[in-house]
Amino acid sequence: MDNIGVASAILTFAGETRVIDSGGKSGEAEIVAISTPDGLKGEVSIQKFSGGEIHVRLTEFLATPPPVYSHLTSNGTMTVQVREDGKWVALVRALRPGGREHATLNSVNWSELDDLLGADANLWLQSYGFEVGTWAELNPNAAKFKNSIAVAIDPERSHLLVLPWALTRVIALMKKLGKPAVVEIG
Amino acid sequence: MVDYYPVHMPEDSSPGHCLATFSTTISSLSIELGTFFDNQMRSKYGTHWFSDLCEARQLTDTHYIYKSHFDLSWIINEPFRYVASPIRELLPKNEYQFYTTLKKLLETRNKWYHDHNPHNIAELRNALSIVKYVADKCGLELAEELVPVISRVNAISAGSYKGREEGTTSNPEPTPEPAITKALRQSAVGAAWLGSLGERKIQLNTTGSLIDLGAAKNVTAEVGDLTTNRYYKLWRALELDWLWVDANGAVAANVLGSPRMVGYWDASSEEAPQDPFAKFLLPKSYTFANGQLHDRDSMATLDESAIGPVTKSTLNRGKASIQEGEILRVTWDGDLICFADAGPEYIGEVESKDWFAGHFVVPTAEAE
Repeated sequence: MDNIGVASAILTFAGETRVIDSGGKSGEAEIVAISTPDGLKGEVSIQKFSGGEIHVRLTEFLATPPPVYSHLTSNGTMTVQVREDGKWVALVRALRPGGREHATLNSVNWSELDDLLGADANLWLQSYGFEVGTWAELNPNAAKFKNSIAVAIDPERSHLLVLPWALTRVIALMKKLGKPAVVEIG
Repeated sequence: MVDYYPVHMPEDSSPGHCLATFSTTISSLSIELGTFFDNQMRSKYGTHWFSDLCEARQLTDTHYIYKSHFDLSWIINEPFRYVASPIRELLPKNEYQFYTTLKKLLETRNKWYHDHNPHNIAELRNALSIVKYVADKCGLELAEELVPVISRVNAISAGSYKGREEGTTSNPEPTPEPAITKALRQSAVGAAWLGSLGERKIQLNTTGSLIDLGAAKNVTAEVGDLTTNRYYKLWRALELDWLWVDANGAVAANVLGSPRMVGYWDASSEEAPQDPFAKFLLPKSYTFANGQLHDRDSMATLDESAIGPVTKSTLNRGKASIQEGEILRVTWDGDLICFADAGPEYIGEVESKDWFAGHFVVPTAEAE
């Protein structure tokens, strides 16, 4: 069992896979547990549907979540595409509090990712074997969001997509991405 | 890595293990960087390079009193303060925020050694990530050595590390939150919460209402006048959601992911004195330069033409006692402090009405 820290969240990889059979869709999901010091306990799934769609999303809360995370099961899905060479590619967008009632996915830049992680996010992703670039660089089929940050990874390591997912969803909500800090903790 | 100085591998989340890991990491960094600087500087400037440098600096800087090139204060302050320092030649160039991070590391060390608040596993993770960044950028062997330490710290945080010899009973399962029935006294608004959370759980809704979840009751009226209650204003500004109230009326909440003391439920209750060095800080930092106080981000100067006597006397005290260039911080309720190498220094109170516009999130209490 491996634990990987993403800022103050901890991801636990136990290698568990489950069959998905819900809402008329079937497939297989790899399960990664996530916990944070402020009380989020849940399961993130890397879902591979038989139709070819691939999603990374929070599928279960294992305890009543703090309200800040309560939309995470319905919000913040990361959609993955498979490139010609077999690598999995995904846009890196982040949940950013905005005009709506709850945070929505929006573009994010490197210095914001560095702030969320508390370290150099580009180096961090590369150290786990991610190819890092813009959506247009990594995905020849990119139509929209060409200059957005994106990652690519070998399918055997695809469970690691949970790392950028957790940074841009859970930590973005925890640290209120894009909102000026009101106070700092010593 | 430094062969004779291994980094301590923590066994649990106790302050002892957190401190041991933090201290050995900091010392290991100092030894590796200090040795590297020594080797490089000797070959360029001879055996006496350190005393020569100190002598030269002392001509203009009476605070330059370093005794060793293994002292982390020297390692960081020399290149931080002197842009033309020969030490800068030995450090990475054009790295975004490298020197800011170095200074943050020193500030972190000062906090760990002058206050008990950081001695927990979450703060250890933060501190190690700063050291890892510096070690990576400088190409230190410590960077590799920290990898298993960080993964152990992650496992302890996740609750998945069960101790050195699983099943043996010499130290039965580490209990991060011992069952403390009596509410502990909290050290300050902003400090890491001590002991277990209070039993009464309140939800602060986005409407501003306070709901007692256990009683299913709107209890907003209990905190009194919302227009004057500074704690309530702070909770709204922080966009807190869950609050836990303990038997002493102290309130806990998660702030940026970690449990903190955030105020008192009954603001009129007699408050115990608070530790100024553990309070929430305003995100801005300040410094004295040419006899004036500057905002370090904008380098704007504080207009002192119409400030009140409280702020005025604090500034005068600061100018007389704090070295120019040292970083000053202000707590959310108006204490001006400096986390200096010699220990944190409390300079005095400032009032929000005299300060840079927009820096305070909640106005300070008016002086009597």
